[in-house]
Amino acid sequence: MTRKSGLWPWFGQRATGLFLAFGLLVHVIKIHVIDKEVDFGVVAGKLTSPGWVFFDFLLLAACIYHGFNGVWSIYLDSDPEGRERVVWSYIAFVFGAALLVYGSMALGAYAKAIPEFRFALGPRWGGG
Amino acid sequence: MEKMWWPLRLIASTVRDTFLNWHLGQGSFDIQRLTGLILTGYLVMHIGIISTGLAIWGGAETFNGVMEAMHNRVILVMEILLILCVVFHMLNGLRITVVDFFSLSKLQNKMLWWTGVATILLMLYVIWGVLPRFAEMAG
Repeated sequence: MTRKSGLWPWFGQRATGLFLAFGLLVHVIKIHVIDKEVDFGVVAGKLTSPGWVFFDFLLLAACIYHGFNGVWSIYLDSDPEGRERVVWSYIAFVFGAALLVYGSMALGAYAKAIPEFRFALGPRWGGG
Repeated sequence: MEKMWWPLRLIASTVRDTFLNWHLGQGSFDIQRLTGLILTGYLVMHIGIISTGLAIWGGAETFNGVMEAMHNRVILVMEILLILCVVFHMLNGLRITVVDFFSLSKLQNKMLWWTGVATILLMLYVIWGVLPRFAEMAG
């Protein structure tokens, strides 16, 4: 059975792939070549920089989309039944979204130390 | 074949396609999928472990303890294999993207050989880079 759809997931897979080819290189070089030792101070310190938090968020979102979209396209190749396919699409979407939220929690945990970020969040987080 | 559970059905059809009509492009397709599955599995673990360490435990002692536990040769070899998956998946993915966007299907077979050579060269560089670390580690 052929289905309409596929252009946007196809394009998204290539767009995130191109970004990841660049982003993963930066990620690995920053952590394993520049910082060398991966300890708590180094990682948490990096996450108090707004630029790194922004970059890491893009990397996180692109990685999850690329990975889940890729696994999904493998699943579609098994030509699943309509109802089963809908159920799995919800499971995959919820799992991917949960992973994005969970990963963002780590990025946000140390962003509280960034003055501009604290200001944006308001007095509850010790800002203005 | 039709009544099988879908992961088994996928494996069966992949094996059939691979061996009944063997060519290099089919092999690279299979490896792209296999490495993609491995990398997605790693991604879930990676986000799970790092986020739990940073956002849930939140302390230097626990985080550093987990990192310290990973400093051994078995994990390092697994990391090198992971890098191998990343490097091949990335270079082969770039090849597919370039062929898709610039209509280079006539060149794609030749480009697969370049992908293989570039993967080997990059891996030699990676192994050369981690050798000192491997040497100073305990088994």
